[in-house]
Amino acid sequence: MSVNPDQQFPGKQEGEKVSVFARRHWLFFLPDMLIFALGLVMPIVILILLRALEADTSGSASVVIALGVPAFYLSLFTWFYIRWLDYYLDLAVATDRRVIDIDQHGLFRRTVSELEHEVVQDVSVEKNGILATLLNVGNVVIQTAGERPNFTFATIGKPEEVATQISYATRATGESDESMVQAAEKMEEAASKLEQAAAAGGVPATPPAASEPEPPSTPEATAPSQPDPPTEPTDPPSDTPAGYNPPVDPTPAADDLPREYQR
Amino acid sequence: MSAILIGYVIFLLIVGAFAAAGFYHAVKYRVPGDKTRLGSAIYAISAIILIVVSFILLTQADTGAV
Repeated sequence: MSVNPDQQFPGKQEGEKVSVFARRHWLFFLPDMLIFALGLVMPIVILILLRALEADTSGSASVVIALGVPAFYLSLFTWFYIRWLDYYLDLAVATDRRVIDIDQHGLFRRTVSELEHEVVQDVSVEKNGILATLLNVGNVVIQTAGERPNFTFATIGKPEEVATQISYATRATGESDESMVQAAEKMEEAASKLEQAAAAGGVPATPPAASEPEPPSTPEATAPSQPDPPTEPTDPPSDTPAGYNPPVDPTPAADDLPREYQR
Repeated sequence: MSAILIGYVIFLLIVGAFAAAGFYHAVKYRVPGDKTRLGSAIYAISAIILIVVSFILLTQADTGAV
């Protein structure tokens, strides 16, 4: 099943890539086609019967025939056109973001349902009957998580291929979600390590700006057990660039320390 | 005769309303590359031919030719 990824459909979002674009199989439309064919033949058969029975078709009967037959055909064609639109405007679409089911019911009711890939749990195929099996027609049922009703693409041709495409699209979304979760976990881990380091060594929890050099992290500068007198905070090291303002040393002054630390 | 003609015109108006609704749907919900235009054109041509034929037949029936 080859589908143009840029295939347009009503309600398409920008940048959305289409992986499945399917209409109902013509088998679904077969009863309407048979009724239409029967309707085409019926007036002709009736006229032939009237002539065979030598019925009187003059006067007002001729007016009824002159208007009745075209009116019947006009009604038949209009009915068939509306039924064809009903059949043809039904669409089953799967994209890289969602699954969409568009159902046209007659002229005055239209249902557009969509399902995010995250809630798709299982995709299965149903085939019922000899014709459906022979013509490879079936229903694609998408089972959803939670209370949302299942999705059914009814009377679709090559249903296995459609199901595979939908499974592939939803799995790809799930994998990208997993990688995002892993990245988030790594970020949380790094943040907790940073907090632990800040709690243990007095390093500020927020990392310094990229343009500023690293604050002194030697045990002499940070450990509370080293009550060295603080150096002048305004004296930058000789190798620092001009305008450098080192961060304030978090080590408390010797006089401010508790008594057990003042040796 | 005139009553039949008025009834036929009302019937044509009703059919025309359904046809217009069909055309509206075909234009609004069509997908590029699909066959809704073709189907609508075939239906429109058929309907016009049927209406013209019906009036021709009506004229002939009135003169007693049918």
